[in-house]
Amino acid sequence: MRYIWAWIFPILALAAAGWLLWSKWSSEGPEIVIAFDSAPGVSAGKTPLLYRGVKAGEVTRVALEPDLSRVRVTVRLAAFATDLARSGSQFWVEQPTISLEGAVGIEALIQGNWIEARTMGGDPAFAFEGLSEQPLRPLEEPVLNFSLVASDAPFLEHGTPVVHRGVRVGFVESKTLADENRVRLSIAIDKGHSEAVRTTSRFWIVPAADLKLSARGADISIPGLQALLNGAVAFDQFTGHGDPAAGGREFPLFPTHTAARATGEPVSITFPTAHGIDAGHTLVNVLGQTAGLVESVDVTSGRAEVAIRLFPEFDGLATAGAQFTLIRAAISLDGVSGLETLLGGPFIDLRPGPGEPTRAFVGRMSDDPVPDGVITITLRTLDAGGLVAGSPIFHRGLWVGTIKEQSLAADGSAQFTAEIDRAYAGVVRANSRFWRIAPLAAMVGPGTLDLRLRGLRTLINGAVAFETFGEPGTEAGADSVFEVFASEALAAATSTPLRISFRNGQGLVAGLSELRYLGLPVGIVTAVTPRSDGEVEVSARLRPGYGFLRTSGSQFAVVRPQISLQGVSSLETMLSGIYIECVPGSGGDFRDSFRGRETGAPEALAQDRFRIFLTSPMTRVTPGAPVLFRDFQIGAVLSKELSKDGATQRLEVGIEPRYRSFIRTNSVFLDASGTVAKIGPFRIELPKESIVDPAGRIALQNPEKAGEPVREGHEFELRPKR
Amino acid sequence: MTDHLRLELARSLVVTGFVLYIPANVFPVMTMTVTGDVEPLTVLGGVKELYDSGLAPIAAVVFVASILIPLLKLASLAWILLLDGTDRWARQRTVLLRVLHQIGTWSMIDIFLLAVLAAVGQLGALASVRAEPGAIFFAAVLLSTLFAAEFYRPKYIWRTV
Repeated sequence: MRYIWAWIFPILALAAAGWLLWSKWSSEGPEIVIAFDSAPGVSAGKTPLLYRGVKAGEVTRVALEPDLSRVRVTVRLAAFATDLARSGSQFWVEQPTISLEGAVGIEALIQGNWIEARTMGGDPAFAFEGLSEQPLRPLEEPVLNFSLVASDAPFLEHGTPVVHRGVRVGFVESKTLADENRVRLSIAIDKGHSEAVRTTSRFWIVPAADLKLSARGADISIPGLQALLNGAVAFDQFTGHGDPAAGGREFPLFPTHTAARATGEPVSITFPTAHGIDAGHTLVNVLGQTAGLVESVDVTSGRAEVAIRLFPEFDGLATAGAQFTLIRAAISLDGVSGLETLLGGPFIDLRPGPGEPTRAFVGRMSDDPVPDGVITITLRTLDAGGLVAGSPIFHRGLWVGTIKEQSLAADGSAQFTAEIDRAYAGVVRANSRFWRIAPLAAMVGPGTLDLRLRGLRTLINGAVAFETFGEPGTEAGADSVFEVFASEALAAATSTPLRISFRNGQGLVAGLSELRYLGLPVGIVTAVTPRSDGEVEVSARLRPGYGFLRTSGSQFAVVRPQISLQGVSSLETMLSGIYIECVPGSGGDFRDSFRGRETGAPEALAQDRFRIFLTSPMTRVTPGAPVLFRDFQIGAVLSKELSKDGATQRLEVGIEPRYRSFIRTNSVFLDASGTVAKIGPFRIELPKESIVDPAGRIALQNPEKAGEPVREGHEFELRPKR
Repeated sequence: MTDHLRLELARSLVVTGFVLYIPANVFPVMTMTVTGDVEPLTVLGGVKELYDSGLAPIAAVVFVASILIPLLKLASLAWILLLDGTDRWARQRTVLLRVLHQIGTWSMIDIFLLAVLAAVGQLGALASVRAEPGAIFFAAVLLSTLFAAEFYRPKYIWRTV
């Protein structure tokens, strides 16, 4: 065997093959079986098992369980990965995911899916349950797990971040139903943030997008692109720092940040109505700053029991003197109040006050104007004239009270309970007079036309005003009863009634027609009664201070609008209605009964007219007819009556004082009325005068040689013309 | 180099060829990665793959060239060497040896193709071809048969005659 060395080759070949086989065998670890609910893209001989990105094994077999319920994937581990076969290991199928957070596992798009593993150690094991989805932190196990319990947890899903002051410290792991009406979220706090959750932490849901409407405008905040879909869970502590919470602790999950902050003791407020109060949304404000939140509303007792919680820093404000007012938007005719609530919704305004801490309050509504208490009075009227509960009560234009309740009194009159702000209680006197405010007041006098609209609210709701005329009486206490007059004039007219008799009462309306002096209202007609003797008796009352109008010489005349070819007079009465013009007399004694004049022209009533009388057996001239001198009016016929013996007609003529010197003893007065109309067979002739002066006209002629001036009351004969 | 040595080397190399033939066919010769699909292929697996792909003629060619012919070469050489020193079928042995020499020229074509493929077929993540240890064994089988056929000269057939 000289050439035995030639047999080195097969030995080398054997050694090489053996080495290859041995290396292959030695690189193989144990075989494990993983059961997956589904194993997409996993196939034997191809799919690797990666651990921290390193190939640690290979799928050798894929099979279904006998009952087809699961997939059994057999994996041959690499020798160096033998320690993956531990009971604490987790396996999942990694597949490409594209989410808002980024694309995960893009490599898998090309390389195919793989099985990923992580291990927490444990005893050797060879059968595993595969995870159904990729864990959020594949490489590290969360340190702390907590439960959050909420009644509702919309859009919070597996993977929703848990945020503490803007830092993402963990994830929502799962969302399950805790019991019938609660949802339990399991969250995992990452290693390194384990101290963030304190025993005092309060968790709330950060909505995907937060739209805040305020007076400053709309404020849309989106916490982040990822949160746009899933929202987030945030937590913070509001009551002290607390201790680090131990894992597994259960926290309530609040729907909003505000709800999470409201950690104070519950406070119960009773409101007449819960309209506009939204549990969980309606805020409690102190001086415009959010201080708490309505937790629940209970209306089962017939009143709204509103439970609120204040922020811890405001918790001390719930004292006996505090007042809770429900502020709602009110767009009424006298303005817009609570405008901010249009955007932010109604809120409860907390006005702090002194006193001991209390937990039960009686709330007020925002349309109660009275913060300091009220006195209650009763108003009665036969005609409510549109007054309703809520009608304001004014005093000299100030809103001092409100009508609260309406009812019918036993005698059939309308009865109102009114509340007067206690601050103004002093101005309500025993002799105060209340009246309904006419929404539209027209003041028409000579030269004035004053239309006044007293607020739209008054137009809709009506309103009541009061005033104390004359000497203020004693203060009216609570529960006083007042009558409501129909108008201010009626209310103001407190004097004893005047009785004036007129021949013609047309146009005079009780309660409306005014007594005026020099164009100013001084009283009001309270009654118009026809008498059996053919005259109309007008009862009127003068306002305090106008007593001089009832002296014995006072004159009263009804002023009606007159439209003639000469002109238009007293046009204002078209708007203001007919009124009674008063002219004070010079007499010293006071009277209650007067005889009214019939003349229409108020200027004819001027007291300083120089009066003369004309007698005529028959004349067409009527009161109002002008007295002309050289075609220039110097006076007018004031009244016309039959003489006492009935033989003549007697005209009272008032001459303007500056023209009185024209009246002489030998002056001649001619009836210049002329014919009314001449009706011939072919034509109707209408003299000019009869058109211009339908009342007739009187011409004054003086002889060349003037006579003596006459005294007032001189009587002339009215001669027919020509 | 004496004839005795050549004969001894030929025998040794045939045995070596048989030894290497096993790992050459058991271990994958190449790994094809096509669009992430990692496919380690043995020679027989490659044939099966081709056949499954509907390329039966090519599968047949590859089967013949890469499996059958090396095996036949080894078997032929073994037969020739076993009958060395006898005069049986000397003529047929001579012809066979000549044939082996002729086809030996082409025997490395598989390895050549694999080398070209591995060099050219590098398209990054999309596709790549990588030679595996099996290819070395395969090449070694072919080399063994080549050298065995070269060492054994036809005149040895007629030596004892």
